[in-house]
Amino acid sequence: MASLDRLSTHSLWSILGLAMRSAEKLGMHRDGVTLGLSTVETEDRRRVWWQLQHIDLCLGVLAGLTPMTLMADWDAKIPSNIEDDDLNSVLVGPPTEHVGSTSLWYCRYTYWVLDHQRKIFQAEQGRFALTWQANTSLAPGFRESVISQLEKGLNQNFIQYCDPLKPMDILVQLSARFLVAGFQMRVLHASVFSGEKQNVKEEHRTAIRDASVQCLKYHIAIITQPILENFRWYLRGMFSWHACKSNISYPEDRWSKSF
Amino acid sequence: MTHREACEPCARRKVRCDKQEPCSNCRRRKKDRCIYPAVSPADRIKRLEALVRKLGADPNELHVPSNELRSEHTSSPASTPAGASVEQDRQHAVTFLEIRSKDPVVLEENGQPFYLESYVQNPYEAVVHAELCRRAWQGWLGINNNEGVSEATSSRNPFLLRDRPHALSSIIGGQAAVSLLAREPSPQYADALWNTYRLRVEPLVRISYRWALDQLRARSVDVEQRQHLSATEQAFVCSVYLISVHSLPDEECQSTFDVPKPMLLNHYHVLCEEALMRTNILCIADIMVIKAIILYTVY
Repeated sequence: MASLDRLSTHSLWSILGLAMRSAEKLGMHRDGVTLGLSTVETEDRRRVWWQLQHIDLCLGVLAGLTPMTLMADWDAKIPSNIEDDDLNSVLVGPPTEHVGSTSLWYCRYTYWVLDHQRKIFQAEQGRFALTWQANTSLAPGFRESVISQLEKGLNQNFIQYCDPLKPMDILVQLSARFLVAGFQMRVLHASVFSGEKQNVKEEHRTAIRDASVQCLKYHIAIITQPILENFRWYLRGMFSWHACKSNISYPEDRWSKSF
Repeated sequence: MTHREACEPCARRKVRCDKQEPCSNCRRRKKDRCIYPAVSPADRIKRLEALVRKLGADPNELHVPSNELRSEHTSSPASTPAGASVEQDRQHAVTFLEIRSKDPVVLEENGQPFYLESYVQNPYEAVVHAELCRRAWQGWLGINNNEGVSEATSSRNPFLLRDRPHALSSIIGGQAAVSLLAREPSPQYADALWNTYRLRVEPLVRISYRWALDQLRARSVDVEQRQHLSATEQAFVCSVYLISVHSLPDEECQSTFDVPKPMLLNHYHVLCEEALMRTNILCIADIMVIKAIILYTVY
């Protein structure tokens, strides 16, 4: 994130809150269809609202907070999978969505991941906190099932349509795999968040190491992919420090145990 | 042709009318006839009140519980009571079943949109009733109150109507409108910045329509036209320039703009902040300012 080089995370958090409140005042948290707005306006509002949610979560991850709005009662849908040219001012009713990738692909993928987690946690009457992967108080196997549902959904909705010749498709594919690997690693290595030194079994350690290596590999692939050169400024923020740390810390554990 | 006031069905439902012919709401609800009033709402209220009296009912009795209203064919809680149904009004009547009382709505006030979670449950309806009762009473007493009722006061929440300055307005906003982009960047550089935005930023952000960006681009590249950009448009354009500079690799920035990247970045950072402060940032009415904040905050 560019502005993080220059500005404090907390002040950015507040400024974004300002933008969110204003968006709420304009009713952007409600779907345009409920409000009876035109298709053009509906899609515009959806795109901006979801981008705000996405940034809010990113800032939250960096500031260690979960934004409150994420689990609140709003119903704006994720933007339709269309191109801008599919819309015009006389269109009545929802536009026909494309089946494959569009220029909105990357944004839709990020919003989909957010929305999916939101829905799962709402159904469970729980709260989607950004540290859910480390939340050991959740029912056993629940976190793993969330990840497998996510993976399945990503395959079905996005990865199967990815065309390796298109930059955005490659970005979505690699990002999706990176994301899943990251989730798996964090679930396995809950002590990264909880700060307690857990008794981690040997098979666990291997699994964690494999997951962290996967994470790092995907990140390297994203950063070095020549077709994604234009987006490198944005993608360098995706580095997973947890993956790096996991790889470094475990050899130490094995050392101390053997002594 | 665009009209200044909302069309009759939209005014009745008190929703935002885009004032086209026909407007988008009327096009959606095919039953409505999108007609624009030739007579002011104030006169209309007086005529309806007179008619109510002629029919033997009392315009003072305006309070009708909302669940009764739902079964009656009235168009708004603040107009004539259910008992004395006005025949002319029935021609364009719409049942409340169509507008369920819990439905959210986007209203318009002085050209600015705002959202209400539930229109009918608005607690300030009581104030509106009281105001109309007072006028009817004065009419009965023969006191001719010629003070025009603006469409706003006859139907809106008084707390939203109050014309007060915004919070922190002694520090934020209020500066004279000035073109921050008067001379810099040159058309050639401006064009390069927009190209960068389209190539490196918009595919990841996707918050604007291509045609809107093209239009704004044309108006901000041209030295003459950019003098006429509004404060909100300037804020957005500055944020576009800021994020575009950031997305450039150092060498490309140096070769395209002949300026080292940190310097250019700092310049646009300051410019963007200045532009944002000139919009009413504590009372944002335009989506474009929200988009500007998105580009400023994150990228």
